[in-house]
Amino acid sequence: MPSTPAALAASDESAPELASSRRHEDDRDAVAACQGGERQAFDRLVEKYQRDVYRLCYRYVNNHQDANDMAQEVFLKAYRALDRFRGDSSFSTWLYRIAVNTCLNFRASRKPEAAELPEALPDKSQGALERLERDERSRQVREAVTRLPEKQRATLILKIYHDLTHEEVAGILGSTVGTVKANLFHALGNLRKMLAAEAGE
Amino acid sequence: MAGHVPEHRLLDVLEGRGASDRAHVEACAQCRARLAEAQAGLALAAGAEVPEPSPLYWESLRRQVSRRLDEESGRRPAFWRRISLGPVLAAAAVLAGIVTFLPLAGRPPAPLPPPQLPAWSALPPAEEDEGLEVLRAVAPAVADASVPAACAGVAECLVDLSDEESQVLADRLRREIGHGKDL
Repeated sequence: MPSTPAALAASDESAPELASSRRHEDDRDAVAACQGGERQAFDRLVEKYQRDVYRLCYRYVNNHQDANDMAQEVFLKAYRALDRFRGDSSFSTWLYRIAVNTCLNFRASRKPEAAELPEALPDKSQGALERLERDERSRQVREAVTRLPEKQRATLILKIYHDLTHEEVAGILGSTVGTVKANLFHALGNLRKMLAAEAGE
Repeated sequence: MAGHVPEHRLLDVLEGRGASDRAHVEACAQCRARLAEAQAGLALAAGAEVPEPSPLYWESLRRQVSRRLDEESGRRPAFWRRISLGPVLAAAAVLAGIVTFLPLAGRPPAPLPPPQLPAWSALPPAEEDEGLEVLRAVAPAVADASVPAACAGVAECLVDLSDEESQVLADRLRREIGHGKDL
């Protein structure tokens, strides 16, 4: 995850192209095997992408149970649609697109959010207190991200938390690189404003 | 926003590119403020991690997906995915047993069918009966047991004995063959 502007830019400029190309090649082989009826090949794709898909879902719903349900749904949809995957984009881009759409549909149909369980039991030691404060800040930011406008939220999640290039994000969202950059810039500014307002700054 | 740097180019500046816009940003308080806000937003966003689930969760997620795909395609799940069904199947078998046999528990026992006698005898002919040798060996001891002389074989002769005769013969055999031990 890029934590500084330089790292944010670096994720676009110095991606290890060879590793990426090999990864895409492995995916293509696995997809071809699945399309040929080899179910175990899809298990390998699930194993490879389940963390990314789960975390993406979590960013949208902010709780484990829903993220788990949605992650399963994403893979089921992908499997059902695999015969229609022609490799115009990479498998990961295609899968992210399914995941984002699943998240948006889920949010549109979901009931009011239940309160999230605390991530840790209270502990009075100094380190634990700092950890609790950090967790609480994280929770506030995650919660603020879920309140961003749809396009801004998707852009920020894919770019900041999944380390994708602007081009990849544009491919997933069916947008242009210029729009992705503008949405990301707005998202970052809005996030800061929301959190400052909550903190009474 | 005429006169100011548009957002997509400000993002380039934020990412360390956009050299052509840098001079404007440095000179323009409004663009500088927008850039600073986005930088602060990036710092906040980058620190907000998703809580990491248990390491065991990933295996569980993979299995759940795999099981649901099996169910959809009507395939029987692989053995390792069915293992957890063991206790359920055992409970179902016990329940089926209870349902089947419980109504029978209160009923009187059904009468036994009449014994089916074979049309042929499983007994060997008298001359091949191994028991005959034993009986001959103890003949002196059982001389008064009045074994019928014309019986077809030892076993048949024994069958023909009365209860009292059987008891006498058994006592003699115990003493003579078992040397006082319980046979």
